[in-house]
Amino acid sequence: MAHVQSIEEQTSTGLNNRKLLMWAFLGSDCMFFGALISTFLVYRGRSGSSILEFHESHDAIKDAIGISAGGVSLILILLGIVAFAFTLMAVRRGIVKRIIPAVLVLFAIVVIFQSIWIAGHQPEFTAHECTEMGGLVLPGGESCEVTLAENLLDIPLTSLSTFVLLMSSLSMVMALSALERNNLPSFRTWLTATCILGVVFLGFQVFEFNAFLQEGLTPRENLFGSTFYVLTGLHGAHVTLGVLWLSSLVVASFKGKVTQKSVLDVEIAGLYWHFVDIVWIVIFSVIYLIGAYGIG
Amino acid sequence: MASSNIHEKTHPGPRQYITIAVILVLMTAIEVGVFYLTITPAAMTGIVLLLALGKFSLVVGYYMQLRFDDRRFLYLFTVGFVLALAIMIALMALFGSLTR
Repeated sequence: MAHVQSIEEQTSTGLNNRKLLMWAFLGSDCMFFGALISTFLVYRGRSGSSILEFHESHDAIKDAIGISAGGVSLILILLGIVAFAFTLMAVRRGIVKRIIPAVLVLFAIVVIFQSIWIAGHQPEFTAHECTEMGGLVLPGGESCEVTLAENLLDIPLTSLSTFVLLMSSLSMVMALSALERNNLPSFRTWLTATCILGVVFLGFQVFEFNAFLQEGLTPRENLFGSTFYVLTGLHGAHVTLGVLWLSSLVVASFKGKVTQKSVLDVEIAGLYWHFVDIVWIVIFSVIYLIGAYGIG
Repeated sequence: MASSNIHEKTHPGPRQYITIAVILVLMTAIEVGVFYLTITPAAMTGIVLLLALGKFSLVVGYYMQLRFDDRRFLYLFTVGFVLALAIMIALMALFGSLTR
């Protein structure tokens, strides 16, 4: 256990007002997510079936540059890992400005690639996939009747994104611990890692949403689509806000505005970030694992 | 004007944080493992909910430091959490999802 010197304001309650407000907000946000999760559960299994046409696959990336989207993804993932390592190293050495242009160019390439892929990619949909999804091949063999719901959930992929979010919680507390010890380089490194892990989690969510849209599940398609996109989308919005908040703290630390005296500011941001994590713990268990059990 | 005073608090250190992260990952791995077992849905639901509650408590207690902080923060959060659970049970009971 570490002994930490903290500065507390003297208020009528004896508690810091901002921290008190954050805990009150988190308590109220519990009710918000509770209502969304129960709405999802109420409508579970009540979605009507959809008719999907069979079709060949189409890869706009391969048409444009001759390399398949999977090949480009692999190259971008490797470049992303290198960029991640260089970013952490640069943050530790305080030379962030030198690598920002390269990271921005890589980010722009990823965004352009994703946009083309999302707009132009259409996976093959065959009779075999129809039956794998629990659907029924309609007479004529050209279409499939299937209920687009829990059968689309990808448990291995979501387990990986859950791992990423759990690790971001670890890096968040490590950042706070480093600041309490007045180790600013370590604080910046851990907090940057938290932001990057948050962005990676959002990337998983974009990938999942895109896969669902490709299968034909839109928010308007059925009750599963509406409740699923609203619940996970709002959680994603919380993660996005958290990434922006933590990024602003990283930038402020380089400007000398975050010091050991700012432990409470970082702790409050950390409370928000961990809350996002515990909400995902519930969503992953209830919506993904329990929801999809016995269907796949 | 609010003045300030400095006092000592006991928080977990980096080693404890890493230990908790390992436990959280292991619990998640068990959850995913249970998903691929062929057991009754009731048993699966019970095990996964229990593990989720354990993970939830670890993050709130240690990472959010509620276990070491002023008890009033705990009461404030618990009120919201209990109300959220009540909302969930009420909504599901109202629409017959608990008995389905």
